[in-house]
Amino acid sequence: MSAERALLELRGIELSFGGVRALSSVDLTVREGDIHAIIGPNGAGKSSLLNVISGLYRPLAGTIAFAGKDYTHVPVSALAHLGIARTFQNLALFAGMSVRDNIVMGRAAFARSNFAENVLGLPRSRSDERESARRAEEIMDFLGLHAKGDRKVATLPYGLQKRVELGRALIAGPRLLLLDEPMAGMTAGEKLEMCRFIVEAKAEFHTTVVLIEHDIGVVMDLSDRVAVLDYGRKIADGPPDLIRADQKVIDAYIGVDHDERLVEAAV
Amino acid sequence: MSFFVDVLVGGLLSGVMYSLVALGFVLIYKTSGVLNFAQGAMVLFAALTFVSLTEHKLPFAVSLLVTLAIMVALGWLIERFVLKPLVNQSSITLFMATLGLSYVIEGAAQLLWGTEVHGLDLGIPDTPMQFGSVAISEFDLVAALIAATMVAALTLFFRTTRTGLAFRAVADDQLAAIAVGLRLSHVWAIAWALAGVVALVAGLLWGARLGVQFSLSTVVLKALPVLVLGGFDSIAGAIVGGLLIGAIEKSAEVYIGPFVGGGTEGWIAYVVALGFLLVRPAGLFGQRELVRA
Repeated sequence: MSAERALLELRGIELSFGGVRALSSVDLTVREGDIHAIIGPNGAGKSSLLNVISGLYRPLAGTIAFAGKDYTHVPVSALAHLGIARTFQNLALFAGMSVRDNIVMGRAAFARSNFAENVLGLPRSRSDERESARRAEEIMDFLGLHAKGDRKVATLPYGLQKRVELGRALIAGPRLLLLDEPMAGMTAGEKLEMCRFIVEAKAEFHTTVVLIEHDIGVVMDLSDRVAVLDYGRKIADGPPDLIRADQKVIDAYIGVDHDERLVEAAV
Repeated sequence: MSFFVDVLVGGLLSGVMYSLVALGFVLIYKTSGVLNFAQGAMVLFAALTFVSLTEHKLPFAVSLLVTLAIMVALGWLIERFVLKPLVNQSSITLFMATLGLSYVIEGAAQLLWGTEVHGLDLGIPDTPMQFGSVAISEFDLVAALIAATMVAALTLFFRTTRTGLAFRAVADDQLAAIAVGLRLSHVWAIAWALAGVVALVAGLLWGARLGVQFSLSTVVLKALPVLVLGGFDSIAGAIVGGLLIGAIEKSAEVYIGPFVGGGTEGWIAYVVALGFLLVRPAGLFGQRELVRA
């Protein structure tokens, strides 16, 4: 590895669903400060890998080292405290709540006041709330959501909802941000905007980013490193230029093997 | 005309009492999707505990505080030892668990406090007060005020506090709530404890009205049509539903009763609820489930 230190290190991750292998001895090293993309054809195990990192799936084998500490499984409730925040492929927002409240909820795990202080409106609870409100304003400014603060999330277009989810992850001030297809279903213009937000978030909040994305053009421009998964195995990992030229990646992506198999199956 | 107003006001005031019971259901249903059939047993348990404490010569305020503590603890214990182990089970399983729970609570109440009927005097006279041409029982009025205060407090809690926000978040989307690091069991425990408090208030008011006896736990049956009308997951719905059911019951008794030989109060609420289910199954204020075709 280079002089920069690893923030996240996966070693020998195995995962299966019933008899189906989802991940086979996957290693992944994410350096602090990088935007590290995970790409691969459908069903390659990208989301599974992200779910392992964020504790939603428990791997059969392997270890996860984050910021120098080893875990076999990170409980979801502890994730925020470790400094890991994530977004979901199909959005996991509070659709009936306002944009502002959604973003504030990103700090849910960080309150210092307890329930009783909260109900009675004691000072520590009020300072928690002020702090959350102030940060939410910052985040909304950053993401250009200010005018929409009081809108119900369900009434926003899809691209903006994705942005709200990014905001909710950012307000936690994560060291590691996991983005599951942050640009899926977006128009070209929205994708560009989202790219800009991700790059700026990295610069402004010193966040390391791991993201899954289908749009190869976007990935190559955005990422410092790219890991390629195919059938649950990592087949390549490195700077975008190397990945672009990698024959295994070209095969997996353009689908020489897969297509032949498809043709055989059809015949 | 003034007779009609009399009937209507009487109905609305008794409706407030229904709302109180329905409110306990809504708190739990909204946050965890559990229809808590044991709410009625909790109402009974609260009333019986309070009455027994006062009969043991404890002062009113002390009895109230002790019962409050017991109800909060009871709600918390139920969440911890009954619902938490059943997390991710189907809703019918959870419902059956609360059904079983209602018998356990009733049995426990019987073991602890005995089976005789207790009178409960809250010191509020049940005398009619004259407002213009309309006569209203003072007790009903105070009950309505207490219920209104409770609803206002809960609404304020949900709207303004961080815990209230967490409540709404959990009710809105559980996956998202987990993703931001909310501990669901924590929120559920608070919901159950709050339901315990609501049960206490309902228990005292209903107990003072009907006497503290085991049939008190059947007030849940009256809460069901209220919830069908208002929506199972809406506090506003519980209030409006309760008022509507109360008003319908009283007017039916007066205006339809004579033609069918009386006794409409026993069934009219259910008939209305049934009709409502056909037209608007989510209730007036309930979240309508959007299903992709």
